[in-house]
Amino acid sequence: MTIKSMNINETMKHPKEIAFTILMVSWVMLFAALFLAYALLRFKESQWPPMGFEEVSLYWPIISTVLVVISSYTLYLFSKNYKSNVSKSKKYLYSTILLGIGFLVSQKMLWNEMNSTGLDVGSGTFASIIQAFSWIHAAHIFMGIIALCWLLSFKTKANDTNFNFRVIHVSKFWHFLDIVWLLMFVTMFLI
Amino acid sequence: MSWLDTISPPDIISTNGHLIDSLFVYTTIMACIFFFFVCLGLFGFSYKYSEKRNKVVDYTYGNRKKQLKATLVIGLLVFVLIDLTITWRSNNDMINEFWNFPKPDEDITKVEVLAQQWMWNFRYAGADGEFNTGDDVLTNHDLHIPVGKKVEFRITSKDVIHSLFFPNARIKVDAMPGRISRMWFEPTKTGIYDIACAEMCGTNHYKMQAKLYVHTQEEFNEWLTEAQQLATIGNDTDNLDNFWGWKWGDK
Amino acid sequence: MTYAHGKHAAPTTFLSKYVFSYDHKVIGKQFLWYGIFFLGIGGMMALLIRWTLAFPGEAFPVLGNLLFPHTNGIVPPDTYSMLFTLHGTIMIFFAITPILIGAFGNYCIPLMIGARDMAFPIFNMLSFHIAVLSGALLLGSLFTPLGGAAGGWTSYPTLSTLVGSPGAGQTLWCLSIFVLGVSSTMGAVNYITTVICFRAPGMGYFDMPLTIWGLWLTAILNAIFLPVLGAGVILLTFDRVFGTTFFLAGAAATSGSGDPILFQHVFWIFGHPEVYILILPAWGMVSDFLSFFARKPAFGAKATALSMTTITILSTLVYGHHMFTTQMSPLLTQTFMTLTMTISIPSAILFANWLGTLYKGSIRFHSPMLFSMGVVFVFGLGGLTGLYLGTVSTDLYLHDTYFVVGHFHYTMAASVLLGGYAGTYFWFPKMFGRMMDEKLAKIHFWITMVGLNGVFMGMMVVGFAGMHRRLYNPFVYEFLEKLIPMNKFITYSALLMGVGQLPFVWNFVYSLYKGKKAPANPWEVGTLEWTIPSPPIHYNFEEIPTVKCGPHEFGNPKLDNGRDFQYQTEELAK
Repeated sequence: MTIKSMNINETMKHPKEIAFTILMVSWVMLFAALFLAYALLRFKESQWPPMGFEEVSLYWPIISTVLVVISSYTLYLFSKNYKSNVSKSKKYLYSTILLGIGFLVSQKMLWNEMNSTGLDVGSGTFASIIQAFSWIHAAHIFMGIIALCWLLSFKTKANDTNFNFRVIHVSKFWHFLDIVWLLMFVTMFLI
Repeated sequence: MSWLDTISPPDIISTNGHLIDSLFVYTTIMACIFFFFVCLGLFGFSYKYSEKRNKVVDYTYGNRKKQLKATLVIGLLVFVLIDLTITWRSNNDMINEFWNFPKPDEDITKVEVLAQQWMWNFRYAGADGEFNTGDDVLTNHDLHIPVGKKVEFRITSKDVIHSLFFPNARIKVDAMPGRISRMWFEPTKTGIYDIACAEMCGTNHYKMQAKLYVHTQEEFNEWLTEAQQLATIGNDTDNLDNFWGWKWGDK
Repeated sequence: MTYAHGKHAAPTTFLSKYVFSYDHKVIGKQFLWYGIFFLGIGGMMALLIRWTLAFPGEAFPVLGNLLFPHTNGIVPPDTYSMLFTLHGTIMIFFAITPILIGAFGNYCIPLMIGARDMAFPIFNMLSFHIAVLSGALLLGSLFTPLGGAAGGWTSYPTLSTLVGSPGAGQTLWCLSIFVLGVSSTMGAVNYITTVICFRAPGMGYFDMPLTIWGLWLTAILNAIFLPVLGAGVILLTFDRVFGTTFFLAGAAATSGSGDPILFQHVFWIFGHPEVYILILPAWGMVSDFLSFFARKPAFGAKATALSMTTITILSTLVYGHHMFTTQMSPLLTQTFMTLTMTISIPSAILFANWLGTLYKGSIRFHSPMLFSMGVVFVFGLGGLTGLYLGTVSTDLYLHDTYFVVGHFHYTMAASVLLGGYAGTYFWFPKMFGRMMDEKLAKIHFWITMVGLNGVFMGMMVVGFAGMHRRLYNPFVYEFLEKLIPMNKFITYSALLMGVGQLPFVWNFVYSLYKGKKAPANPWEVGTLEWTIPSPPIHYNFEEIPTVKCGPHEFGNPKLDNGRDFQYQTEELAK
């Protein structure tokens, strides 16, 4: 079967790109629903955090934010360089993975700290939202790290079209999670 | 009892229940008219244009102009006869009646309702007119109200979501934990009627019924005095569980 | 799996052919079996429910003693709650979705748009396997100590939290729905991409059969709104497992309060599009079949497609009408009522186009046509009764009564079921290469039609008389006692409808092995799947066809090849 058998012309996007866009829409809706839940629960209360709760310390959230932003940047550098410069891009990819793991560790520290200050997941909506949402987000980051490991074979496949799509899609997914975390950081910890 | 009686809705005992029935009837008439045309097309064309009777078909996707006209006519008919009329009538009914809650200074019967698995608790303010005080009259399963006077309910739930349903007044409202919902109606007929829970609330949902006693004002006063006496004797003011009520003004 | 669908050899072993097959045709059939299996279970549950309502306290005949030995064959109240919960869940998520979307979507999309397979065959296979996992979770929940979920298919908190249902059944229900959501989203991504990228050369969007339009719009709604339900059930699971209080409030929320209404919002944001997810494929098929069997172009095919699109868009904006009795703000309530009412306009156009297709046609009453006309009839009733429930004031009375049950069964059960049967009778020859028996099919149609109208019309009647939903024994209420005869009538109708499915089962199984061999094009229809032999070869099309005309070219007077229809691969006769 040849390419002409498909209804595809030069300007048309590749099926994988279209499919991934739709998948991204699904993920956006998942997190949008979570944010909607957060918004409704928050506006129900007269103040936030509700009476009797203290703000969560910004220490670990800021570290998470820094890690995830840098990891996005290194992944961007990787996707720019992996075709031309193997040694450099190897560094970028490994540092992205490490930063991702670092992000998970910093999240774990955040949860530990919240648990130790009485803000465990069952202690009311304020803590539940922060913990449950960051769990769901961390689960996606975990999937993202696995997907990043899937890129490790870039040395031999740099010119494979399928592999190029893989890089594009994993990057998109990773940057998306980055943005979700930034939104969570701003709405949950800052304001 | 004629056959029709066995499937007719219960008697209306409120001043505004007939509005719902009359809108129901209007919608039914409209639905019947439109459905009649659907059936006319479906069965009429099936007969007239079956393969046996009509061999040559009209080869057309519909003339654009004709189609636009047909669409416009049908759309307009549906819009005016169904959408506009029903929305307008329903909106009026809601604003003038069902959402038009009694004013604070009106002389009404006030009842606080607590739903729980699987019973209805009713609370009257008692002699002092204040809720959640020692002289509150508490009943469960029985709701007593006087005829010809508006009664307003403030409803909440202890555990799961329930729904306070007066089939004879044609209204219901959900009883939700953590929220207070409101409902009012004005009974016009004395008698004993059913109160139901309309929202699935667990295994014994079907048993969660109560009785509505609509009295004349005198009978009601009599009942209230008696209940009041019993309440002041029987109320255990130390039992905090009895004070599930709240101040009437609190929304 | 490559972009160009490299032709690999047809699978030979049993496992690779029937279990781990990438072939969309096999996956479609897998979904069909899966759906029919659950349809049977859900149907049996419906009969148990109906029996309890008509004969409260009487033992269920034959099977009763086997199923409920502790109560001498009487359905106990807690089991009754499980029955209606699982009846709803199974019918919606495990019967209609797999049959209409899983089976016909998988089977028809590539064939009707002239593709060799779905865009991502492995993804497609996984989607089915995940659906099986989900079904296993749901059935497994029945065997937990406290039994399956019993909070209604909507599973409103706080009844569905630990406050109302302590068992593991409800948790498994949540997981099962989440897993099914993943499966359906994967399927949806595949469908959308396939339709966008793999249409045969020359096939524009308006040259697609309307079936594909319906399935495509359904897939779009699925991809957008299933994740919302996913988020809802994840939070519900957290409430149940980790002790969070997203949906708890009042006395039960000992540590900070959430909001049970929040779940209703999330649920219906998904739930209202869901009813269109279920009905859109049926609409698409009906629009096609009416034209195919009236031997006449589909009247206003473009307008039909656009009306379906309009309804799809509107369906996302009206979910609040499920929550009128929760006392939303009047402004929101009015907005939702108005938006709900506007759906009647595109629906009316749809009906006008269907009747316009029949007008001056030459109608052949084959079984798919009968079932399609049945859909027009029952969907007319279902759609019009929706008016009462979209209206705030009448909804105050009718909400949560049997009127609602009757209404949504007309739209979601009756229409979709008849649509599904129409599709089954229509594509059976293509799927299995044999014809189904027409006579039995017609018997099946008439019994089903009489039975289902008796059931669902009866439900609306008792609903208007005030009987509310989900009652184990409605007749403990004095004002409902007079409804016993009517309830018996409904149950007899349901039994009739149940018995009416036997000819279908027999017909299906018998024809599978002994049916008359089907020609390539038994219905004389011009869409792409009928240009190839029945059943199709492994890669569908020897050569990818080029599309030169629309799917509804019937009765063109300029045709001179002795047929009254044209294949889509033929140049339009001028």
